Amino acid sequence: MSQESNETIPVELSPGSAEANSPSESRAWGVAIAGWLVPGLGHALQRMWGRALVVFLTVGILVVAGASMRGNLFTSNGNDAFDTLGYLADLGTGSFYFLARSLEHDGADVSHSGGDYATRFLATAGVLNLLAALHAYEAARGRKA
Amino acid sequence: MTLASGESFTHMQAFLLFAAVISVAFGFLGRRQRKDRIKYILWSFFLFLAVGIGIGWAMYPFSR
Repeated sequence: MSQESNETIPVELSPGSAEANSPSESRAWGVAIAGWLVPGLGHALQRMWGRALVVFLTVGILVVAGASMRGNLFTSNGNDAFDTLGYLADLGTGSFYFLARSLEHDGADVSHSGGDYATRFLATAGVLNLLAALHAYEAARGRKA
Repeated sequence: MTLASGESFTHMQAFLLFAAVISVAFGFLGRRQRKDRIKYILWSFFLFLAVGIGIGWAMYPFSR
């Protein structure tokens, strides 16, 4: 057998290949979705307790503060592209979106600066949770995280 | 600004809360070692304050 025949030829995986759909890849997606639905759960499933707790608390603090200060929690029937973007950001908090809804029983009030701050708090909580879910996904795939 | 509970936040308090919470999250997600995390959190918090206050001062001439 020649030297060349023993060399490994790198092959790029296409999204539909068997390797790309391996159990570890499926598990990574499961971790990411779990992390999105419940902030911190993606890390908790991988026994990253410190990160799980911090993600849960930071997203939770921003959501509770944002809803308590009567920030604008966007809905699916927005008037323009900014409302849609705001809705996507708010949805990033996963189940905490409904927590914010339940806390904000008097509705949004952005006529004062507090409501404006609170709107940013809610959107930031969503984006932060999406970042954490992506981080959990990368960790589940075995990448350095 | 008033919370639903009746307590209130000043602009500065809201700004500090935001900076602290995001810095802690970034520190824990971005670094693994405890010492690195603390350094990253403090540096991130400082940059939030510096940029926020800097932009505030830059906008001051246009506030009236």
